[in-house]
Amino acid sequence: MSRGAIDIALYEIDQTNQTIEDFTTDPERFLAGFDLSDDERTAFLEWDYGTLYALGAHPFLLFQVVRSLAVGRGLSMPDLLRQYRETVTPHGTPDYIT
Amino acid sequence: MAEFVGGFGVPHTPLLWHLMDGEVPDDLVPVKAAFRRSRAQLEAARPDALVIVASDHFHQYHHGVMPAFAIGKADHIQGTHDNEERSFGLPAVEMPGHPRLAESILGREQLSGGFDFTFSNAPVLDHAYVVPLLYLRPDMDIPVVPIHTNTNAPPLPSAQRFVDLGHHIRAVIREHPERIRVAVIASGHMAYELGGPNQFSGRSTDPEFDAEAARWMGQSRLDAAVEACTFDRLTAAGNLTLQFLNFLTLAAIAGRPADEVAPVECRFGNEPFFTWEAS
Repeated sequence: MSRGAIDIALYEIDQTNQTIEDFTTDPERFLAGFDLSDDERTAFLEWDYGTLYALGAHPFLLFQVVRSLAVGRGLSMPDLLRQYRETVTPHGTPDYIT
Repeated sequence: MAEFVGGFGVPHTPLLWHLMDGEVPDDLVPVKAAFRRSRAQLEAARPDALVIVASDHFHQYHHGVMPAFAIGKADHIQGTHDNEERSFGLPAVEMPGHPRLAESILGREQLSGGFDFTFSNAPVLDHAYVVPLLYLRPDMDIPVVPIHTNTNAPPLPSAQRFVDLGHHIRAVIREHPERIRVAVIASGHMAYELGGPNQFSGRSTDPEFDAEAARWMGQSRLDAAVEACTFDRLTAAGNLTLQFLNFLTLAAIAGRPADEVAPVECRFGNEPFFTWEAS
């Protein structure tokens, strides 16, 4: 279990425009130093944020990063909110304690 | 001896800054009016120092290091982080600090009041501090002591500990050697969720909790609040409801029922507005 590493990675991704670009262009390289499990790393690499949510990513940090990345991908806010809700709702409210 | 001259429990929802700039949507008109009223009350209180009790949201403090309570002790304080400028359009700000009052709360050679505080001599405040200041004191000319509380990354201090923190600050204000007027701002949420299935639902995630919370503030029923405000109860009302705990500290500093309990219902649920005037 490495929820703390998920949260630290989310924190680092969202720091600046440069960190967002670095993660977007070469996520493997960006994540190289983080102590993530294989499942967690794959979820980041595929930007499968529903799995990160289910694994216990902090909801606040996760949504901030989802929002930041969506801006660069041209998703409107209403569409993003709808997509986010549909993605996380099946997972309920997972334990996010690190 | 310093003097408590007012307490202001207010929201800090960062999206308000953009939404209330220019033509204000109908549901937010009362939010802006409530901020304006608090601003006038703060001005009338003529404070020499502001203690701000709020929760950093993974900006200065995060899962790399997360203090339970941290006191900002500095001559000059910066506000707003890069990602808040990007995400919310919040301005970068600067304000004076009040290191002498910070020291009374924190301690000098030894930590004060039975609290193992963390301190920062380079506090950088996030929207939990900046949004209230933008509305309550946009000139940001009153020296500030920022107090960070961990309400976001468990394990958290207990609700009792938030009350104890308030009792400590109340005693410090009485014993502080300067004759200064101290106002206290606390920011947080009532029932509120972010990043979960119920976020941005357009209404409170738990109206029953909100009604109970308003009674605790209006009747100064801190024992009842402490009993009720467990991690499970607060998160059942929405994950960020944990930030309601900051209002327990404010209520304990004031030491009596709030003079005004006037939450505003809007798209973000019930935005908190709790006010204590000078005793």
